[in-house]
Amino acid sequence: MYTAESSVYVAMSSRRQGIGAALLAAIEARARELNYHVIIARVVATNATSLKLVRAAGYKDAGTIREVGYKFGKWLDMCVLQLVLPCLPGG
Amino acid sequence: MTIDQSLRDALLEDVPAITEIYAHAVLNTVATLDTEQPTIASQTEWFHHHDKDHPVIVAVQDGVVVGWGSLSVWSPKQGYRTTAEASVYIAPDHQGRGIGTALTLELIRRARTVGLHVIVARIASSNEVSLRVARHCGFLLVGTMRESGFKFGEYVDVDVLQRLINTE
Repeated sequence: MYTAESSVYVAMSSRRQGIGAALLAAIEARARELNYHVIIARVVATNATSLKLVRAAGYKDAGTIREVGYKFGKWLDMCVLQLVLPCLPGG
Repeated sequence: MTIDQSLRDALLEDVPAITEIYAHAVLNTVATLDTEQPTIASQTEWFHHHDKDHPVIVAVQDGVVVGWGSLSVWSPKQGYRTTAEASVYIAPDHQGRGIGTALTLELIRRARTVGLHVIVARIASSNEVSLRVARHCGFLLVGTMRESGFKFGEYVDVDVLQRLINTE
């Protein structure tokens, strides 16, 4: 397995309790078990909370795609982040 | 006949030629990270995922399809419906003659016509020819997804590029 994309969502009423970080850590652990090499996260550039979360989990910025989305009357930029895991192909 | 005059919408009957050109890239290059040899059936299915807003175009010389390009859905999520992903492939013995540039510029023109706002292109960082064509056509580098692909026994870095379409 090579590359997967992670998604994390937390209920409004359960935020700011570290649940997002715990989920990201669990996803990373599972990805390591499954021998993934790269996890990609795509986060809307205005979503500061999620960006902080994935950066704290070790994801590195791979670039921002400008105005790639449109919602609620606004163009949205999307940050692409990636976490490279130290696994070997086929290993 | 100039190259521009030989560009047209792809027809179902072009799918075998499109498949042959794509198969060469699949089997021999990192122009695509596809590793499964495409079949006429699989490319026919792909063809049917395109429409007026997501065209497949071909470059024809002397009645033969020598290259193709497409604007494909970037994401099924509706908030991304103004974004498409571009693909361009040229038959190996017709490369280096500007056909890729002509197809890319035509895809940009089509994107503008149908009201798309952004074209995204993903190109292996080692694919200097395709990167040069994309940059020449106004694509800007967004960033590099390091080691996000694997082909021919090694990890492949993939550059993400984008072209904003002036819809004014």
